[in-house]
Amino acid sequence: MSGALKTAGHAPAPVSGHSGGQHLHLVVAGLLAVLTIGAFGAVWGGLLSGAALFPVLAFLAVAQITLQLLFYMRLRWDRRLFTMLFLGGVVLAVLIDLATKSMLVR
Amino acid sequence: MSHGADTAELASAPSGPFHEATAAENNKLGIWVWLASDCALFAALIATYLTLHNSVQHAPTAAQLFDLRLTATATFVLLLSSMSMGIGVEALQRNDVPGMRRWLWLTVALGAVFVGMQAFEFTTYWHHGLTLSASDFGASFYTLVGFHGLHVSFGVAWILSLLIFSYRRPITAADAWRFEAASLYWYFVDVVWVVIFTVVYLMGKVG
Repeated sequence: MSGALKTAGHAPAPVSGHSGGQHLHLVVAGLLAVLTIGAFGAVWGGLLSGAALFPVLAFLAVAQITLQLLFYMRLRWDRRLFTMLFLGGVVLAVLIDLATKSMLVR
Repeated sequence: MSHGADTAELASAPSGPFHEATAAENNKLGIWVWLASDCALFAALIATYLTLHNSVQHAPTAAQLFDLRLTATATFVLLLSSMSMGIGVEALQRNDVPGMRRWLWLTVALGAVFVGMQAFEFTTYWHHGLTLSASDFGASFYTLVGFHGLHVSFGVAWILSLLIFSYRRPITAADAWRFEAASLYWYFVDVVWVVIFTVVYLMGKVG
C-alpha cells in the first residue's frame, strides 16, 4: 500500500506513448460505422449479389480490422514487435483455415 | 533462507520509473502473445464452422434463421463500446480518473447489452429448432459465436474488476498498464466480431 501512496499524487503513467486523442477515437468510430453500414447494406439492401459480394465484404472487413489495429490497438505508434507478433497470429489463423479447406477438398 | 534475508532481497529489488516502464512493456508483450494465440484458436473455430455450415440435416439454415437487423445492432453496440473504452483509457492518460470511470462504466453497460442480445438471439434460434445437436451447422455456430460471447463476458468482468479496483485505491503508474491490457483485449474481441459478423452472418445470409 505504501507504494500506492508514494505515487498517488502523481498522474498515472501514460498507458502508451501515443493514442491519437479523443478526436481520433470519434473519427475512427465514425469510419467503422460507415464500413459496417456498407457491409450490412450490401447484403440486406441487396446492393450487390453473386460474385461481386464476397470481395466487397472481405475488403470492408479487412478495412475495419486494419483501422482497429492501427488506431484503437495503437499498433501505429507502438513497438513493431507487437505488430509482427499479431501478424504472426493472423498468418497462423489463415494457414489453419487453408489447411482445413484443403482437407475438405480431399 | 531466513526472514531477514527475504527482507533484504525485497528491499534491493529494482524499483522506480524505469523498472515500472520495463515491467509494463513486458506485460504488454505478454498480452500481445496471448492475443496472437487467441487468433489461432478463433481460426480453428471459424475453419470448423466453414467446414460444417452447409451440413444442416433437418434443422433450419442460416439464411432462414439469421436476423441481420439484430446482429447489425449488436455490432454497433460493440463498436460503440470500443470507442468508449478508448476514450476511457485516454481520460486515464490525462489523470482524469472520474472521466475514466464514466467511460468504463459505459463500456461495461454496452458489453452487457451485447451479451444480452446474443442470449436473446440464441434463445430465439433454439426455439426455432436450431439446437446444439440439431445439425453440424448448429453445433459449430453455437460453439464459435458462444465462445466469442464468453470472451465478451470475460472482458466485462475484467473491466468491472478494474473499476472496483479504481474505487478502492489510487491508480498508480505501476497499475496503469492493467487498463491498457484490458483495452487491448476489448479491441481484440471487437476485431474478432468483425470477422464473425462478415463470415457467419453476412455470408451466411446470402448462402
